[in-house]
Amino acid sequence: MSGPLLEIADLHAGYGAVPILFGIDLHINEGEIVCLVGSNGAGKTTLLRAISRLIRARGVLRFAGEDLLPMKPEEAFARGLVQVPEGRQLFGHMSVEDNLLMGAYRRRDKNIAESFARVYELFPILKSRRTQLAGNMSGGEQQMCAMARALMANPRLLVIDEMSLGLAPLVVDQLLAVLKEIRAQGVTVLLVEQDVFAAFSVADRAYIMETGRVVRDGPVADLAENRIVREAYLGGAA
Amino acid sequence: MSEAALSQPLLQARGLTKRFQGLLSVNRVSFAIAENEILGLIGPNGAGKTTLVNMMSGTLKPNAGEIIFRGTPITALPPFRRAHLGIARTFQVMKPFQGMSVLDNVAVGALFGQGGGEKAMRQARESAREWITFTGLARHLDARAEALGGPDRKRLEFAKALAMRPKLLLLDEVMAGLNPVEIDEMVDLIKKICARGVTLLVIEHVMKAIRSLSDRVMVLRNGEMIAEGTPDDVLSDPRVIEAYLGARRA
Repeated sequence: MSGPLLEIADLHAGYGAVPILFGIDLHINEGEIVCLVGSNGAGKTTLLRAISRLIRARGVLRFAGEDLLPMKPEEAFARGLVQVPEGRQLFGHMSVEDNLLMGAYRRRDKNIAESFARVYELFPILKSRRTQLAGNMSGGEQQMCAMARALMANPRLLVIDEMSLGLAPLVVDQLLAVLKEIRAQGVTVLLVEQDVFAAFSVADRAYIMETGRVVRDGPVADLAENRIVREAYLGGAA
Repeated sequence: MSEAALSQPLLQARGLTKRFQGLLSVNRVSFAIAENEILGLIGPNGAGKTTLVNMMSGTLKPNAGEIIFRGTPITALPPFRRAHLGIARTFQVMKPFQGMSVLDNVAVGALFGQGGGEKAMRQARESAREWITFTGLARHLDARAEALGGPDRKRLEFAKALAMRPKLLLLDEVMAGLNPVEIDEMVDLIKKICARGVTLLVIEHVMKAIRSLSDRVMVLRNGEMIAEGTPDDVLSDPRVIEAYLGARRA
């Protein structure tokens, strides 16, 4: 494949008559970790919803060279575009193992056992809790379960919304380490994150959104040095 | 524990214990909060922090232990009685009254506050306006609560709680979902609240907020208090780094 894995150009989307996104340009190359940051209300989640085909959009939206715009969410999902939603959205009254199986429900191949082995290696705690109800686990374990469920779908692009929300610092670090490992295994990652310090510690590039537009993008090292970015998104010293 | 907390604590908890069926969520936790201090409460997910706050606000009854607030045992009191005595809280999952304006959401707080709250809706609304301005929501006075975006919803949680004129305000993860700059603004708001004589217990995973706000920090792990002291001491404690912070942030 030539060109980026995900290609977005002049993308517009909104809810009913209310426009939210005003011409987004963004691309993600295979094997990258890209993060998307911005204030609350900037349109980050709306962009993810457009990418996952949950809302209508117009402009250019291509995944692995294919036009995503006419696709339904399950068609994008079947091509390896998999989202970990904000708030985890686990099946609380199902076991960890059954939640993971749900991630693989579209697969027709016979390698589900291998996938279980892979996610249990990434998240050993899930293996020891595999018969427990997902809803009874701590927030950190639930986020791990949500990420593992997404990996069970064999994603090419893993889209993660607010990974660190409500999680203890040590757990955030563990999840960041897992992201690096997932990338090493060949999965491309788009991370939406309010903890900009955490996101910048693993990402290659970042896009900054304000009021429905991308206002800045580049390698995270450059953005972290930029005075405007520091003042607007990083705040006082950590 | 600081001397102030020993001499005349605003709130004292002794041997608080909470079980959910077989699971021991909080195990014999004792602490005191001094008048006008900010006490940080940190610990891994599932450590029992919210359970502790629920026992203080009265939504959960402890299996053992007692809570004394301004000299009065409150362990057996329901939440609204504790609110009358001056204990208010915010919720981790924000709970605005849907379909009601920002003004009326906050007025509800004013009707249920310390000393029984305002007696008439008109006064409650008057008082609510003050807190809406104080928390920076004045331009959203008439908006419906559910129309507010993330950070403004947090401010609404504050305004609702402050309208109760609390002596003690319990904050459960008000920074979650905010970016670093929004966190700085929230830290400023909490300092302003403290400057008005309100004592605060702050549950938070955002360490820069905990560091800059807390007079003291206590750490829960598996329902037990594993460390307590100044932010510098606690956040450099090897047990806290191992159980909670991780090496990168130490």
